Amino acid sequence: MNTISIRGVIKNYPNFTLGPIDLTVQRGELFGILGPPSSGKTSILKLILGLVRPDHGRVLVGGVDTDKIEVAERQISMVFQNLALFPHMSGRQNITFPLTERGLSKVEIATRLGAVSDVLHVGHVLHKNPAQMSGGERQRIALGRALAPDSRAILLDEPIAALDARLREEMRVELKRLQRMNNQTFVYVSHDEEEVMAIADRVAVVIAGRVVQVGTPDEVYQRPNSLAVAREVGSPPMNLFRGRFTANGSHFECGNMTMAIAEAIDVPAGEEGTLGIRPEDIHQAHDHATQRFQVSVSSIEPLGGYTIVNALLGEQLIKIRVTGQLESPHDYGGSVAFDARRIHLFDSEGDRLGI
Amino acid sequence: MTSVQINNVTKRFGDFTAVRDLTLDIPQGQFIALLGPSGCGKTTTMNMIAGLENPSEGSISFNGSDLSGMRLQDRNIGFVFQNYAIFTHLTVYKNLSYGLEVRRLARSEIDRKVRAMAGRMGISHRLGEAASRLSVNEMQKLAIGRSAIVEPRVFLLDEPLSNLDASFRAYMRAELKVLQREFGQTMIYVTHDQIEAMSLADKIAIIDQGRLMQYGAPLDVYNDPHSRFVANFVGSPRINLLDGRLEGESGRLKLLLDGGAEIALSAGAAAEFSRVGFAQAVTLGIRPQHIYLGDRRSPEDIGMRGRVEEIERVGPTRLAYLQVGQTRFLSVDSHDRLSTGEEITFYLRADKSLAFDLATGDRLGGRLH
Amino acid sequence: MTEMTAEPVLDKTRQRRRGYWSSVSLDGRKLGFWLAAPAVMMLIFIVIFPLAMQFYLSLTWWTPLDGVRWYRAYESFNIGDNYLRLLTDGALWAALGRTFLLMIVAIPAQFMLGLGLAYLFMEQFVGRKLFYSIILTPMMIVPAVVGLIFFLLFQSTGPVNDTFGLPVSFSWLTDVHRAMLSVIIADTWQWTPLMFLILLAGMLGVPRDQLTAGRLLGASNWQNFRKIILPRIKSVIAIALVLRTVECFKIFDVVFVMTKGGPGVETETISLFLYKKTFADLDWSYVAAIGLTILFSLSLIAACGMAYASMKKN
Repeated sequence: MNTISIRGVIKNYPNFTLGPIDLTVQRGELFGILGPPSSGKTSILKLILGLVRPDHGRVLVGGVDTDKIEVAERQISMVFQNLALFPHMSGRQNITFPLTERGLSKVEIATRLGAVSDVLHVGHVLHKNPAQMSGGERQRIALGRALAPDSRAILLDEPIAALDARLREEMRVELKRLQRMNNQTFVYVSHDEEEVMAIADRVAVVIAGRVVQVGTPDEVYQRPNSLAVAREVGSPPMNLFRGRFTANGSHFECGNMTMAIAEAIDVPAGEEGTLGIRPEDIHQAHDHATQRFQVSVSSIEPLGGYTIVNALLGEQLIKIRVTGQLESPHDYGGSVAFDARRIHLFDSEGDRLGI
Repeated sequence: MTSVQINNVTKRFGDFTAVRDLTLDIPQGQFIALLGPSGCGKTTTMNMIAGLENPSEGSISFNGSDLSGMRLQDRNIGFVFQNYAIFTHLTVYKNLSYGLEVRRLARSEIDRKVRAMAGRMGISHRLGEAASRLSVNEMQKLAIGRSAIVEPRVFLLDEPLSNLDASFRAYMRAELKVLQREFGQTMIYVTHDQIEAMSLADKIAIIDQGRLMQYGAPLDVYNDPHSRFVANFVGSPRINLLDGRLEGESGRLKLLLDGGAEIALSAGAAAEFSRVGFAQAVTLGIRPQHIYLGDRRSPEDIGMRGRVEEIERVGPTRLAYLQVGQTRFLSVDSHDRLSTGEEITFYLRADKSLAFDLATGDRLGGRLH
Repeated sequence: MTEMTAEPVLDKTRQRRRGYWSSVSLDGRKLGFWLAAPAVMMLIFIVIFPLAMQFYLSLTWWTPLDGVRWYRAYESFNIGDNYLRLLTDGALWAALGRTFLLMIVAIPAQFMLGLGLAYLFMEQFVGRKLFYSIILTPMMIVPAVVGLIFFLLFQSTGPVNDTFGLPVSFSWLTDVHRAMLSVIIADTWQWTPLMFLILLAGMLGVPRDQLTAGRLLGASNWQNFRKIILPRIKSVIAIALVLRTVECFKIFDVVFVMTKGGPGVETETISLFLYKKTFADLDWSYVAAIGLTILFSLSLIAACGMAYASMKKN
């Protein structure tokens, strides 16, 4: 039985339509939702939580149609983007709030509080007010408040967006560990695709109110089913070349560049399309490489473990990811080759072609 | 082109000292990043350069001449706020022309410059629109254009990319670098994101709790961190920092890590550590890409055995968390073949290991070999 | 953490409710209706009924001198003659003229002073809170008392003349040219604080960052004021001006206490005119007609002003 199931849901907003959406979240998985800002990710969470009712379709929680039950009976907790901690209450009171509201016994509340604060290492800040805590501590209290009531699923809406970059990297691993340890079901929304892709078991890419692709992070990364998904996933983003296919679908032309396609695509002659190649799949060309393209390097970004090379291929600016360090732009040679197995092809509509 | 000197600047707000005795020499025409966690004093430092705050002690000069007492209006500084602070009641055109209008340039001159800058920033098509209706990305371009159009001598940017979505941020990183070269000004950039600092800056000043921790080119700071803090803060993926104590007698030294793992140190390392004394609390730093599987490549390299606890996919790489007792190592799984729960043998490259004094955070001499 | 169960946890929310009144607290609309009901009743009695009565009377020749109760005023219906009369009443229009003269001098003066003061108060300075309270005091004083204060101040033998120390002592309140000026001064003293308050509130709403950005771009304080602050407080200015215009038009207490409309009719504003017509001439139906006409005109002006203000806000 799926913990959460969204079937054919449509919700109309003044300037935007969400749906039709079909999604299932299985028990114990960390389900990620990513997409550009204002694509409807938070609205999906609101539908699951019950803040919003769908105009069409059904939302099922624990196999039960949510139309037939009170919102509170869904037993879903949420961690909000701005955390929404009660500023006048201590950390302890914040975490136990949902428990006291549901009328649990004092013993039960104390047990749950103890378990949660152990797991989250917040024992030392329970007595403080949110204003006296650091960003990371606040985030853990908000998480504790969501974990304490033993919910069916926990929804997280950009829970770590407000933290520093370094802290975010550490906290997302913590979140994953927590989810794994308690076998909790998480639905995790973030506009930071790297964050979602790093920890999710499965991912849904939402663009302009539709779920465009669902799969494991590997699947979505290796085989994006459309241009929209290809642009969303990967930092730096995939390099995209607009051009056309030759008659027998064996080559792709873009400007002066002609690329042979390993397995010919069945497309009409001269059909327009897009070729995509990720920065890490572009390599320095060896002398005997069959297909080489001239590039001129404009700058490099040394990130320590790897380097991003910004270069011009013809008229187009591309990014190349090189493992290791380069001292200067001149250390990168003048011609590159694309890893033929890693080319992504899209038709004029933006849909994926080929395997 | 203007150089900036920060001379022994201290800034206090009541009891709280935001900046402690900071000295920084920023050469002209360079792109400098002030990098540090929230609340470290980087924004305060930048505010003092701009003149929005005055130092409690010390002074700030441009090209050697002291700025104290100079009015905001006269400093000719370009400033991009974190939330852009564009004039929302004006059109895009009027935003761009503001700085020129207050200098009373001729209308035709203003028009020419505004159109040129709008073209350069890619917002020509929005010139007549109300600035409040721009998207966040366009607002950022407008904020930069508005400051750049008056040709300031120094350009200050306060976390300018933090509000942007990920793909635009990547694009703007490259754009900013190009713009800086084109405008030729000295650019000072405040951020908490080390990726931004590494990719953009000619030199990075790392600040923690008001103190300058290290100041150098990105790769220098990455390869040769002077302190535990810097090693931890800079570099993608982040470094493994394992705290522990030195054990044993000279010649047969061991490093006993907090989680229970043990590392046998070679003779050379023993000599290194004999300077610091036994039972000393130290930290071993090793970057994920310097941990490898398979066969031992050098006799100095340290072998260990552990379990794959967690695998995290970050873009094209997969990071494996290797558990040895209570200690965790983060390694780059470059061959994509590990699975959770596997027991494996891995090696730490001795020539790339870093040692730090745990009490002070200072880097200890050379390397751990 | 234990396993999930599918049973509902809450029973409280399942209880059924009976009856109209017990559902009132649950149904937002019903609750709203009953909470608003008392206020609506008050509105009907205090506003709508008197207005209707006034309209009724304005269409008749009725005065209390007729000897009949007011609801029998229909006996002297005149359908609009009162309205025609007010169009040609010289005394009425003279009073209106004087009122406009007062407004044209007083309101801009109050506005400029209020604006200047508000600008000074935008930044923090020593004693700001204290001066803020002091500045607001005149507004708190009962208008009649303000009239009395200035009555005493402007006496021929009073403090104002003494301070100026001029050889010829001005007769502020009885001189044909100075009486109006004294009244204007009194009104300005009392109501500039209101302008100050409203304009300051508007100015403090201007985002600080933008002002800083302007300064960093090289703008002087004056340029920043003109280009950033002023445009942004247009709607607030409109509100302040509409408020003061409507109130100033109705000015009564201060004038009555200081000059009683004198010397002669030199300071007889429209309110004073109506006062005399009501209590001296007892011409109540005529006054009703005038009152309604003024109400209508002022409402129109206020509506235009507010429409402008809300337009500017968007």
